Formats: sequence, structure tokens, C-alpha cells
Amino acid sequence: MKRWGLPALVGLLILAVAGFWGYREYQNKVVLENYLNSRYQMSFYNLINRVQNMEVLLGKTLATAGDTDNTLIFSEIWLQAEGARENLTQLPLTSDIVGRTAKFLAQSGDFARVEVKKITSGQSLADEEFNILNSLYRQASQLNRDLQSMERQVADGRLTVAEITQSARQELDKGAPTGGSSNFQSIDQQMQGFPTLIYDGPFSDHLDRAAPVGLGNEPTSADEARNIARKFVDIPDDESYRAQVAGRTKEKIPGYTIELIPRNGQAGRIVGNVSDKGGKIVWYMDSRTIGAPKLSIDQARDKALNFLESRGYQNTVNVYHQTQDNRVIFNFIPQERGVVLYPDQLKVSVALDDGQIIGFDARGYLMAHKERDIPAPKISDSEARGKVNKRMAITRTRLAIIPTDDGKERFSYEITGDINGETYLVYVNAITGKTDNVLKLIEQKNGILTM
Amino acid sequence: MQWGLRKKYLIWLLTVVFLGSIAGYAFAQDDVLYWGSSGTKVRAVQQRLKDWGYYDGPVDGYFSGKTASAVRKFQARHGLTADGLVGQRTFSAMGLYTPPKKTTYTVKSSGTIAYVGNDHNVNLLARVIMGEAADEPYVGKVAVGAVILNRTKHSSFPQTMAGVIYQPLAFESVANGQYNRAVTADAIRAAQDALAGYDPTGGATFFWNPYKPVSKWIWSRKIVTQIGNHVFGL
Repeated sequence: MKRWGLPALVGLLILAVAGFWGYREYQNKVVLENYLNSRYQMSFYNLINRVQNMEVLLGKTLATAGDTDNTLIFSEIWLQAEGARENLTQLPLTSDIVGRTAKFLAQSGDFARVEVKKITSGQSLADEEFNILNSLYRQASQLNRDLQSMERQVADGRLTVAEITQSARQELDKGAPTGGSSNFQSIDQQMQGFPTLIYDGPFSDHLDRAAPVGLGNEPTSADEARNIARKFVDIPDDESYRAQVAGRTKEKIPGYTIELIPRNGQAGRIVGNVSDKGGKIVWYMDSRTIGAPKLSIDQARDKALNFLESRGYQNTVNVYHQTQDNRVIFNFIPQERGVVLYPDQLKVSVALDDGQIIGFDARGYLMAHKERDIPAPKISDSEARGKVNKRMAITRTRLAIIPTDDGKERFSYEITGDINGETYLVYVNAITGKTDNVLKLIEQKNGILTM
Repeated sequence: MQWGLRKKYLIWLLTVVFLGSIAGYAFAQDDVLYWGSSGTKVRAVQQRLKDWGYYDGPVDGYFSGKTASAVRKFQARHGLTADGLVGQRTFSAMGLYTPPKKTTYTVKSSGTIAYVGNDHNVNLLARVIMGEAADEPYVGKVAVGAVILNRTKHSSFPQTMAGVIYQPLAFESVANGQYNRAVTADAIRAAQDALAGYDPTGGATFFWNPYKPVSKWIWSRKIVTQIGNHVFGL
């Protein structure tokens, strides 16, 4: 008996410790699971409440359409829709299941925001917008009804949020929705009937169809694209790189991906895109390591300007820069007859060790640059300056074309000034005299941030 | 006594299995070489032992009984516990120990004027880039950062960066905690470029590795480009 008494004791002790440890782990797991479940439940119930509020608010707009009191209702729809979208995307569901529902919520909120802007600028609702509201209302009540029936299943205990989580995970492996998330899937399919919305907001459907206007028409062959890239990229000795086509891209600016491969294997590769139409460099990036900085920001800016001019981008002004470690990223915009064109932005990254251009991006320019018919301003610059706060000490006024959320452009006075030692940019519409936008300049050691 | 004997063996067996599993776990964690290990580290150890005359077997990268006894001899000579295991202390005694790299980069805060800035976004984005594209070429890193930023501007996704990154099931490295690794200077730089507006994908909102098992649904997306091991889609 004594010979195996001790080992038995030790064995039992180990088992007890292991058991205790396992039990603690299990307890922790239960606590965490409950915690996570409650978070998901909170999102789910908030979602239902917000969609319900949306339904009611959209209904109200139908009853009071045309009234300026609508502003309040519309801003509330915007608030509820954004909240609902956030709640929906916090649920453990993949975007193929909730994508369209999220889009419906985003567009309803976006549409409401545009209406608020319209009403505050004195316009009233057109018949077309009344129709859109009507269809949004019907969609919202359908969504509300579906969510309510899901809620009943959740409350009955027939469906737990944990189940939705699990089924969503299985579905990632299998590819077909199962269990709880199929409920969301069927809701999402009904959202398919939701009509295309054309309005002036950033989520409007017409923005997806935006096409580049600054390219040109002549198609480019792969060989030409290689040469274009080799000539454009800022490399000290073009012989030391071999250009090859790495692939085709089918994005908004379709074209070729070109890689410049160093012949001696020391330097890094440089990658960039050349557009199919017009053979323009869309962007390029050199990821080489950068040594200790030797250039000042101003010297780097000169390098960037020289680079742009030698590559055919004349008459640009630097509007903004940020220093990051040993490089600076400059933003340039073209100027036309004294008007700065913000939509046609160009980005240039300069390495501060030898002034090489290690990054270039012309996407903004190629998407937006065109022959513009810039009208004469209807209000004078002194009238425009009268629109800003009297306490602002104005340091500069100039005319600018600025982009709007919906991909359109506005013609405005850009008024720069200081209040309490902080710098603000106020954009006053040169045609209507209304304030289009206000930006704050945040000066940091590594650059200026606009917000 | 028959019953007692069987029980005795059973308990011993359980104890050994249990201790063995703990030990195996610990070794796997700490990168200790022992009888049965193999690889380049074993080869380096064998070479050292051979050079110094403790070992006369083949330098084949396999930790054999012969290697173990050579290690024991070495340990006895150098005042280490002669257990035949090559752990951190034996490694350092052989001059083979390299401390694990713990380089953590964070954006240098500009620390002037206001607390308004972009540093927190750079750090967050760099971590996800690290988790999702640590082994991708530089442009592939920028592209992953750009996808996250494109999602914030898309109607089907949350509209904040944190919302996109922490959306359940959206990013594998966030779900399994891999994105909490130390970020490299390259990842920070890629995050800065992405936030500055560089987008090698031209507006993609999805990316996936076609060589890994992925949901079939993902292939219904329109592929716009491929960078490194990732394809990018809308």
C-alpha cells in the first residue's frame, strides 16, 4: 500500500489542479461569451429602435413635405440612419449578408443630409424628391417589419446572437448562409428591390460611375507603357533599371502595372500604373530606404516643382505638405487664370536624403482635369470678405474651384484668416455668396493638416 | 493487490502523460533543442561542439543521442546543469544566443500646438497592415491600408476607420489577435502613404489571398488588380 500511496497522491493532486484550472478557464469563457452576447444584443436592439425611428420620421416627412420645419426631421433621420448603420455593421455578419441593407441605411441618411442642406439654402422639395421619400419610407417599414420578426425569435430563445455568430463563421468556410444569418440574408435580398438613388450626396449611385476626364483617347500598348514609365520615374540612371509589365489593372483608370527592376539588385523595385488611354502615369512608388535628411523642406519643394514641370504639369502651386520620417509628401494644384483648381490634385513624395522623387500620384488630376469654363464671379471679393466673421484677420483671398461630396465642383472665394492665433479657410461661393465650406488648418511640426 | 497494482500503473501513466504534455508545451514555446529536434539551429550547435572537440558525429542538423551526450559534456565543463537540453543559457554559453528582436515603432508624435492630429490613425492602420500584409511587398502594404480607407467612404461599410477595422469577421488578423504584433517601420510608412491618399488599387474595397481557402462568395467580386499575393476587388 505504501509503495503506491505517494504517487497516487501526486497524481490526484495534479488531476485536481488540472481540473481546477480547466473549470476556471470554462468560467472565464462563459463570462466572455455572455459579455460578447450582450454587446451584440445591444447592437441588435439599437438597430431595431433606430430603424423604427427612421420609419416614423420618414412617414412624417410625407405629411409635412414642403415645410421648412422639415430640417429638424431630416437631420434626425440622418442621425438615426448613421447610428443604425453602425449598429448593423457591428453585428457578427459578413458584408455579403448585410451589404445592401447597410447601403440602404447609408443612402437614406445621406439623402436626408442633402435635403437639410437644400432646405437651409432656401429650396423646397421637388416632386421627384417626394417620390424618393415615399419609396424610402416603404423600404424602411419593410426593414422594420423583418427586424421585428427576428426580434421575436430572439426573445423566444429560438435564435441567439451566439448562433448567428457561429453560423456566420461556418458560412465563411462553406460559402452558404446557415441558421441565424440567413434571416439577415433574406432581409438583404429584399433590399435589392431598392431603386437607384440619384441625389447630391457622397453615397449617391452616380458616383460609382464616375469616369476619368483628364486622360486622352489614344490607346497605349504594353511596350509603350514600359517606356513611358521608365522615362517618367525619377531615377538617376535609366540604364540601371529594367521595366516590365507586371499585370493589367481594371480599376477606374484601367491600364498596366509596371515594375522597374534594378539591374544590380541593390536598390528596391519601383512600381507604378500607366493608363491604357492616353498613356499617363497614374501613380508610382519607390520603397527604397531613405538615409539621413540633407535637404530642407524648401529645397525638397523646389525638386518637386522641377519634377512636375519637366513631366508636363505646368503652373502648379503647393498647398499642403507633411513630413514623415525622412520624406515629405507635397500636394500641388494647378492654377488657371488666377483660379486654383482643388479637384485636380497632384501628390509628390520627395526623399530628403538626395531629393529623389520617390512617390507620385496623379489620380485626382487624371480623374478631374478638363477644359473648364470658369465664369466671372457674381460677387466681388470685398463682398465675399464681408461674409466671414468680423473677428477674423484676413491674410489672403483668392478664387478657387473646390470639389463637393457628390463629385461636382463649386466656384468660391478662398478666404484665409486668423482667429485667436489659429488659421481658418472659409469658402464663400463666388456666384451665390453663401458659405460653402470652412476648414481649420492645424499646424504641426511635420506639416499642416486641414480638417 | 492485483487491483492496486493496476491502479498504480494507471496513475503513473496518467502522471507521465500529463507532465509530458506540459513539458512538450513549454518546450514548444521556449524554443529549446532536445533529443529529436532538427533544423538549422541544431546544425549550428553541432558545428560549435565539433569545432570545440566535444562532438565527433555528423553535422546533419539532427539532435541524436550522440549530440545530447556532447551537449552534456559541454554543460558540465561550463558549469551548467548537464541535462542535455540546449536552452537559452546553453545557447549563450556557445555564443549562439541572439536576443529576440523587439523593435516597436510608433509614429513620433509631433507634440506641438494641438492634440488634433493623425498619429492615432497611422498607428492603428499600421497594425492592421502588419497583421494582414507583413510579408507583402511595400506597394501591397499600402494597398491594404487603402482598402481600409476606401471602406470608410463606401456605403456598405462603417464610416470610421475603427468601425471598419473592428467590424466582426472583417479581418482575420484582428479576429485572431495577430495584428497586435510589433509593427515595423515599413508598415508605419505604408500607413502614412495610404492616409496621404496613395491608393495602388484605385478604390478597391476587398482583398484576399487566392492561394488560401476563402469563402466562395468573395470570387463574385470584380477583381481590379493583383499586388503580391493579394488580389483586390470591388
